[in-house]
Amino acid sequence: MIVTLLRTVILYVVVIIGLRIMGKRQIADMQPNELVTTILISDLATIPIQDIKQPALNGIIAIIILVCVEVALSFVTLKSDRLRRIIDGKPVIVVRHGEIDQAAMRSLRLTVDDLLGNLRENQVFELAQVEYAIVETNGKMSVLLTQAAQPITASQAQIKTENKGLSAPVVCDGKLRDEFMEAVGITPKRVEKLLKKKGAKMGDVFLMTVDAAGKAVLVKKEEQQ
Amino acid sequence: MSRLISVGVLAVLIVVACTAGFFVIENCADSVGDALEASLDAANSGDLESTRALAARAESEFERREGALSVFIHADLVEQLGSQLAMLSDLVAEETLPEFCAEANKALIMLTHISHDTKPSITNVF
Repeated sequence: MIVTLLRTVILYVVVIIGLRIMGKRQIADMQPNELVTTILISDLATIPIQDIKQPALNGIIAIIILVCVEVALSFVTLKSDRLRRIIDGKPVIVVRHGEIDQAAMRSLRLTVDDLLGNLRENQVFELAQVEYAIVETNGKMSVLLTQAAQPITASQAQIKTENKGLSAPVVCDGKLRDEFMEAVGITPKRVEKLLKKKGAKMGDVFLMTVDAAGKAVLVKKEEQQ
Repeated sequence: MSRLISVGVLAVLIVVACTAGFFVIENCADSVGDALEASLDAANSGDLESTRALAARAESEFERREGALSVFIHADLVEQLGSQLAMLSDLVAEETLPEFCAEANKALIMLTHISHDTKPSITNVF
């Protein structure tokens, strides 16, 4: 049992490291090759866990090789359009100016129900409102509404607005976070000053956000019962 | 860039691990195989003492490498080979040389299979 426990932990760490090396794309929308890699890695990790007589090294080596191949392929497809088209495919327009391209739908094996379902997921309930609907290489649908159906923007309504920029979390769960400080132009000393102004200590803060204009929003930690 | 470096390092580690595995298995096959073949020759010529010594040497060569072998090949295979070599010592102790020769041949075949199955070849891949 201890062997199973140790193998589970080791393989879990190996899979996490592998996914981190492959990058954030693995966690978000996946291309076909990325989906294949993720499924293979998960299956490879379970074999040495279930069968303790299998050398763990076989599973670890196979996972690492898949990670290496995936990263290498990502770099190659970055440079080569042709290879990218072969592996990932290309986006397909299925609706043009409110008209369904049935040949394109047949090529994707997309049914009318699939199309309408995807449109609804994009908050579109009327085909006539669609200027373009494009099925992306990861299977998701992007929709461009007709000009008349698009929500009005501030500039179209000639309303003056100020650009507030990014509102970034600078304190999370009592700890200072520096990932976005540069983007909002704030320093740790400024954060301390803002906290002092609001009469709060760093350790008592659940969340504090600051925008580019220096406006801070603070949420204190609730007292645990 | 850091991702490429990580992948490069991993690739090097893979090559090192695979090479180490290949050498461990080949080394075991050579040392245990040589001792077994010598013990077979001794058994065929009726020299009981030499057969006993060489069978014991084959077993001890295997035991020295058993841990490292388990890292690279299935534990069942390692166990089977270990049992087969232990059986040889018993057969020599019972002075049953014909049975010893038959079982020693089986042990050699097992060693050959282990060594062959881990070689990178088209038949192994498919």
